[in-house]
Amino acid sequence: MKKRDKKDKNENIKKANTIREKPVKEKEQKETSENEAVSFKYELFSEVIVKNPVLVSTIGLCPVVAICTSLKSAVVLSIITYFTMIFSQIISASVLKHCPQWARVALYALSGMAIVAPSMLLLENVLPENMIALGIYLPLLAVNPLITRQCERVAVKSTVKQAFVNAVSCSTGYAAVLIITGFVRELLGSGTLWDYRVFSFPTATALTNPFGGFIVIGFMAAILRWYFKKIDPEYAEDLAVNSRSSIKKPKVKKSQKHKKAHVSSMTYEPQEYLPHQEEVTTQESVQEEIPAEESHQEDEQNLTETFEQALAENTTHIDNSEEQILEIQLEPQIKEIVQEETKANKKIEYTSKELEDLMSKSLEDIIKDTIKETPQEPDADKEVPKQ
Amino acid sequence: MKELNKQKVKEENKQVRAYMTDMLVMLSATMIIAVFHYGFRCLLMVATSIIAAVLCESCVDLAKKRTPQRIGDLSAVFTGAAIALMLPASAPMWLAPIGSIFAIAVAKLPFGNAKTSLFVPAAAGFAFLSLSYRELVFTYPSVNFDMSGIVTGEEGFISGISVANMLSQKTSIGTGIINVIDLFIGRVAGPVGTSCIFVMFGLFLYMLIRRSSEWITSASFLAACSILAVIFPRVLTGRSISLVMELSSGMLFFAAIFFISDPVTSPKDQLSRVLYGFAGGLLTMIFRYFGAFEEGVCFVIIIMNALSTYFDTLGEKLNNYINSKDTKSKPQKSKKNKKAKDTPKTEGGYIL
Amino acid sequence: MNMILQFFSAALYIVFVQNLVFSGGYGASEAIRTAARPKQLALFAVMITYFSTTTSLLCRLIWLIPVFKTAGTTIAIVMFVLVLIVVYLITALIILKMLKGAGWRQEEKDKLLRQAGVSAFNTIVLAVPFISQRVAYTVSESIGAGIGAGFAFILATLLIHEGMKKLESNEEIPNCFKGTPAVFIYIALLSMAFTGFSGKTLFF
Repeated sequence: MKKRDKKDKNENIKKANTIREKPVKEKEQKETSENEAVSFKYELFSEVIVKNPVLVSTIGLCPVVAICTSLKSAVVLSIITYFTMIFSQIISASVLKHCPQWARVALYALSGMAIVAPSMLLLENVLPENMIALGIYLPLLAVNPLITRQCERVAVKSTVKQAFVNAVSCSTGYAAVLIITGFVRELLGSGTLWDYRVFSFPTATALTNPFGGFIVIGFMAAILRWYFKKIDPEYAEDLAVNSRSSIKKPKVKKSQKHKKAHVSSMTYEPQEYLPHQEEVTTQESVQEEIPAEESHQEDEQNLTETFEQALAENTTHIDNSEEQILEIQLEPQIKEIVQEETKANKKIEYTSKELEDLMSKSLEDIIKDTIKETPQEPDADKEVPKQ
Repeated sequence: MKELNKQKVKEENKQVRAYMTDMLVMLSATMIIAVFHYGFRCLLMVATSIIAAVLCESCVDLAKKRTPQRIGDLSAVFTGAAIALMLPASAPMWLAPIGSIFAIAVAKLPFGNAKTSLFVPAAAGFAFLSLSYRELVFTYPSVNFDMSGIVTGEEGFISGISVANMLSQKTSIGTGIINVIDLFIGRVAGPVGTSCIFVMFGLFLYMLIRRSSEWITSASFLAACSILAVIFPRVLTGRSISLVMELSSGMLFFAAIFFISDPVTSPKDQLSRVLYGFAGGLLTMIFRYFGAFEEGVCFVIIIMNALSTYFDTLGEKLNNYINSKDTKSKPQKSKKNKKAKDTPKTEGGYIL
Repeated sequence: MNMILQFFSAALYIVFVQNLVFSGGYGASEAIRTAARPKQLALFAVMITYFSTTTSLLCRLIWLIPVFKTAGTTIAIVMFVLVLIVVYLITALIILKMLKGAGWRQEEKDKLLRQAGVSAFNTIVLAVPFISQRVAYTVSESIGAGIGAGFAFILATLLIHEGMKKLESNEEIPNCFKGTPAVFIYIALLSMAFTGFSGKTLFF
């Protein structure tokens, strides 16, 4: 049993990693038609679980939170969402590709209305009570931000088939949340299920209010996050810090954190960088004995050697990774400089602009500046032999 | 690292426990009055509520394998007791535990522990109950009704009119059924632990002696309510009667002592606390005058907790403005004044 | 005088008594997104106010025509959406014309138009004409409702932003609640407080 669990875990991690790196590999998949069945499975997994529209990307909350208070409404809303998404994405993939972006947005609303209006007429005749219960939230499905987002991100840049696949998987993710929310809220809020009374214990009618909806999706998002922790802890950590509902942080720090976390998962980086990073960390601990200049020069030599090796092996991926590696390598050294200067009782406050200037300067300039500022102190080493 | 964490948790538990023991001592006074008026059913309600809250918190403690457990800081006990004491004596036995479970599981645990919570859990739990089970929470048994017959709460009872209800209907006391002395003793239909004004004033003074930095928030809250009650009376029998009725109705005094003064969710600076309490009082009276519920103080507590950082910044700016004015007018004495006016900030929210 | 009173009463109602974002859930996804990027709040709020007010006013004026008064709800809703689309297209064309001469870069122009698109086709913007039709607002009340929608959005965004700041600096949050789940529960509790003022949602 244990071996099987391990195998499943590795497969899941691979799946999730490949899904996250999808934008890079999309071009390869477009060319090979053999991977189409596999890509549908991954697309479904990605949109329903990894990038669930409501629970991870916080899109289209209005109907889920406000009106999805019974299983019937949930089913009706999800069917309408399916049709609007498929219709809008197919139209935008086939016809709207050459339209200017500002005009496309209006046409999404029009296409959404084209599906919602007939469905409202149908509901008036077939399920009039449900129609009254849904109220004004039903026509708001026409301007569901999920449609605009998916059309702009996927449908306009891909083929009709891929747009269809994306529409189906996104709607499945949305429908899954709708149905589970409707089920929970109806059961706990009114004690019924599909309008049949299940139990008569006084129920928490507050769950049928919008705040009950927020509580239910809050707990569902927490359960999903717990599941992510099990299959891919890095992704869960990433979501905790950089999700659509976290305050946007300055770009410098974000890219560094991101790259530091995913260095091991990047498949195209040559393996030599990992041992070099270990060298840097050991150098930090030995910093007190080696004077600052020599250690920086050694690092520079190491950096140039590794760059030459990398150039020889991987010419295509170097363009961005040079700066990445420089940033990763420079940061600990700049940290050391700051630590040394604060030890010398200097109050230093670097603004983000100053940090960027520091990063753009070469190592030699930084060392020259620090030597100019610090007064020449009597060396501690000279005092020791006197004793 | 683990040992450091354990030490830190132990210290935090100690701080919170010190505050909570004070609060529980105060709550026990209200419990005694409740038992005096309504019998031992109140004790049973409080006990079930506390057990539910403690079980909920200890489940999470065990699941997360926290050592030492956070249950030792007595905040769950306080939450359970406070929720039960705001309910009517005729409430069913399952009502208070549901409120406690909501308070702990939804309003406290997703935000951490007692020292890092963003809302007062008891206020959130009671707000949930009042929205879900409005009739059960706001119908009180009449004072003359013998409560010994009621065990589970399913039995019928004669409902009395609470003072808050009277205010919302604009009928006044003093016309025969209830007079001011009844209000002071607590012999009036209302929540179990909040009706006796005599006890409430005693707790107010106790708080002034024991927790003076938190007392300031309560005092300004009550000041704001009193000012509005006097300026805009809802009853026609005079402003003093209006003041007495407003302060003795519902859970206003109770919330002023126990909820608005919670040091974790209120601002840290003294001046900010004064403004915070005052704004809370104003908002409570607005909820009372124009809102749908006869008592909306728990909703106000939630909104004020969300706005506490705004009051922090406001207090800071005012302090800087006052200090800069001092330095401009009296340059030599300014240093002494600054030290005297350096308002004692309560770091971490609690002072031992 | 009466019209001014009606205007203010409708606006205040939509902002405080039945806050569209908290009590109704309209525009919650946009409120969360803007709360995470508060620098965009000013432009977004202005655009939402503009679109909701103009759409609401035009829909109310069109509703005065007897033909549409007697039509069914479905036709009314289709008409509202068409009005919104027309308003948005006209606004986009005006923006394009105004920016033609100005020395803006293409990226900035695209960004502004994208913001306009997102703020126009929004659940909160489309909710206002529906509500004013259902509750039978007068013309001045419709204008007040439109402006109130913008202010309700600003209030909701500021409150959610404060909450996000507190949650980011809070290290004791359980790992599965960090980020989006904690924000949802924060909004739930605030929404509970706002619902407590009116007792129940009147806008349906």
